[in-house]
Formats: sequence, C-alpha cells, structure tokens
Amino acid sequence: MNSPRIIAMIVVHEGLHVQSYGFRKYLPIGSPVESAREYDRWGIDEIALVLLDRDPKANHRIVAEVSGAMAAPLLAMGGIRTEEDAKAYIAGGADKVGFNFSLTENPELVLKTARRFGQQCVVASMDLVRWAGCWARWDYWKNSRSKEDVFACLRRIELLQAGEIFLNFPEKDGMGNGMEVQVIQQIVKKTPLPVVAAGGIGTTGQACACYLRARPSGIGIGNRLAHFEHSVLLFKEALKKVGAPVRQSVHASYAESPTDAMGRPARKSEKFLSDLLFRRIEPEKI
Amino acid sequence: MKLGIVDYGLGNVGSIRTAFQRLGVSTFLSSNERILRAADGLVLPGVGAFSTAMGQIRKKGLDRVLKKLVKQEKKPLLGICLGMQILAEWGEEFVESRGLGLIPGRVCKLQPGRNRKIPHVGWSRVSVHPPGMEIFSRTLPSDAYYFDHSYAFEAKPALRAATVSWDGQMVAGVVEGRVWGVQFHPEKSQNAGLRLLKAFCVHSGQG
Repeated sequence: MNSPRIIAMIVVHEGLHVQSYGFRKYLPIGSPVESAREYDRWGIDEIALVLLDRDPKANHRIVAEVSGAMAAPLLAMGGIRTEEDAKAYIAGGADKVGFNFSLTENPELVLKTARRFGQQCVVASMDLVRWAGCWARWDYWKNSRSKEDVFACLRRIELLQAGEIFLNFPEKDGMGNGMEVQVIQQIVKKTPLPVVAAGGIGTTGQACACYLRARPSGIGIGNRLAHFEHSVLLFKEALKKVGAPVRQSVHASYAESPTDAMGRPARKSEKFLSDLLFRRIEPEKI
Repeated sequence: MKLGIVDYGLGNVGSIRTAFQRLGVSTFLSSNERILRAADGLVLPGVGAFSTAMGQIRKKGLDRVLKKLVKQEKKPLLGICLGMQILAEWGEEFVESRGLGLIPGRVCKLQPGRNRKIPHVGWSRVSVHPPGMEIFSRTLPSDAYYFDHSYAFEAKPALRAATVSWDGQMVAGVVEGRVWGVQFHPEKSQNAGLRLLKAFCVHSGQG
C-alpha cells in the first residue's frame, strides 16, 4: 500500500519562494533552492513547485536548480505554454508537469505531453471556488470562474490522459483555517486518478482530518511548512498518530514530544529535561 | 570507476547523474557503442511511453548495441522505471511493441479497481525476493521507494527481484544475470534510493 504523501508547495514569485495568501498577496521567504534542500532533508515525500512568473527562461532555470538540490520527486506547475516548456521542465529534473490554464485553453498540449512523456508525467491542476452552492474552476487568467461543471471536467481530464489531479482552493489559500474536506472527498470518490489536495492547512490536526475523511493520495502544504523547523516531521508524526501509514526516512522523531495547538513541539517536562542524555548519531555513509 | 548512462533522448538523466555524484561515482552520457563499452556498468533511464522509447532506441541502433554489450560482454546494466520496462520482450503502451528482450516477460496496463488508483504513484516499501538479494543488499527494513507508473512488468517468479503490494503482488524489480531493472525511481527516493544505487555499483564490481 502507498503511504499518503506530504507534499511541500513552493510558490515562486519574482524568483523568490513566497508565502501566498488568497492567490493575491505574496510575502517573501527566500531562495526556493534552499527551501527545497531543507524540506528534502526533513524527509518530504514530494515537492510541488508553483511558478507564477512569466519568464520561461527563468522558470526553466529555477526548475533545474531546485531539482539539483533535492532527491525526492518534483512536480513543476505554472508557466507551461508550449511543448518546449514541458520538455525543458522535465529535462531540468521535474518528474511531473502540471497544467491548469491549458486544460481548457489548449487541451491538445496536455494530450501531447502525455503521449510523449507518459500519463504518469501529467498532472491536472484545478483551483476550485464556491459558486451558487456548487463548485467551479477558477480561471486565474481571466480572473473569473469557468462555466464548466467540475465533475464533467474530471471526466475530460481522464480523457486528456492526465495521471493525477492537484486540487487547490484560492479562498482557502493562506487562511490556515482547515481544508475543503467535503468536496475533496467527493472528487476522490468520483475519479479513478490519484488526487492531491491543498489549501487551508494551518495545523497538523487539519491535515489529519482531511486524511481520515477524504483519503487523498497526497496532502499539499504551503505556508505552514515554512513556519517552523522540522515541520515535515511534525506533520508526519501527527498523521502517524491517527493511523496513516506515513513514510519515515529520517532519524529525528517527535513521537514522545508534546505539541501545541498548531502541532508545533511544546516545551518538554522538567523531569524529561533533567534526565536528558545525548546520543550521538553518526552521519550515514552510503 | 565510471558508469555510462544510455542516451536516447528520453529520461530524467539529470537526477540520475546527481544521485551517482552524491555517491562519488562519475557518470557520462552517450549513445555511442565504443564509448559505452568503456563503462564499468550501464544505466538505462526512461520517462515516457514504451513505444516512443523503443522507437528512439531503434533509431539510434541502441537495441543492437545494448544486446551486444549485455549479452556477449556481460556488462552490468540497471534499468530504471521505463528503462526497466523496455528490458521486457513486449509492451502494450498505446500500441503493442517489441522491447529489448533482455529479460523475459511483458509489460501490461494496470487494471483499475476499488481502492486502486491509476497511475500507481507514491512511496511504497517492497518485499525483496531471493533473486534480488544483491541489488537490495543495502536496503533497510524501513526503506520506501517512489513509484509512478501505469504499466507493470509481468515476469516469472525466478526473475523477480522484489515485489510491491498493490492488488496482490506487483513486480517492483527484475533481474537476470547482471541485468537489473527497478520499477521505482531510486534517484528520487532520497537515501533509500542511494543505497540501492550503491549496491548496483558494488555488484557491478566497482565498490
């Protein structure tokens, strides 16, 4: 059985890794390469690079640099207008490329990429917004909702030979107030493709709630992972406690640590601290 | 010690080279028979569709070159993902096509079902079988690998190096003689993957 993946989203705006709020406001964090390197060291299961800039050459360079700093799978989304862009991302080390705009505006490009690089390489990215009690895809290009029904779109994505669906929610982006679990669950049930869901994670508990109800193949986390050290390990520890078979690949463990409401490590008891002994872990030579 | 990465225009070559670089093993990329012969071992990468890959390989005459280097000169070879699948005799992606035929078996589409999402994507632990003892010799019990595929190699038990649990047991690694193939991406599997690549280097006689 597959482990549920914890996926770090690195949003890149003007060449910098940024925190994103509502797809509108961006606060800088720093170099996307350094962020990827840290997440990889903390045992991230996948990194989703979201490229907002419109300069293809700069985007190709960032994909290659980020890929060189990590040894986990890399999904690159954003800025893919032509077959050459998809090819450059993949040649630069992306394992998967994500299409959003092209799903409606240039479906031929999605299909061509799947034919050339295989179905497993193509990710359909959908940004969903509430509208009149239903869900609609958000077209960030036109800044309006798309008229196509979300569930009809799922079928079309299958026909376009996409191999995965990446859901995000502009209204949830950066809010940290929980995920849209209900619609995620409906989509997971409806489509035969693996589904990754993102948007709205502020605490480890919210990630656990989404996993328990919707069972997505992966959970995408953006801002919150950049807020504290070893964030990936803490999310995994929380998921493990609710029975998720998460992958563990690093020595550090928070199994015995108390945590605060956000899922960050809290101060340990005085007794524990006074009994503390240090154990040396030699760096592994492979 | 030098590994040759077979260049046929498809594949995540950069990540594979970075992974070997981390192990201190130098690699080169080539499609030339004479240059590939100088390598201590060969790596066959691959991303894409079976028929496209085989088309490219035939166009460059690499099918003949690989058969010669591997079968006659006993050069060790590691196929990764699609590079593993094209070791088979037949594949059925988009159109039925003939593979390299270095390991008996065929590549078939995964069948969907309840609780089974296709492609099979994500991290899984594998069960190592006796033929896989060499290539998985450095694997730790907790090691998981990254899979991403919608077709699977069907090989007889004597050729299975490892299997992964997915609707029964699905082949995760194959081996015949000094030809190995893994369905997952060791170059994308952090330290677990590096341990496997190291084992390949060691068993290619280049520790």
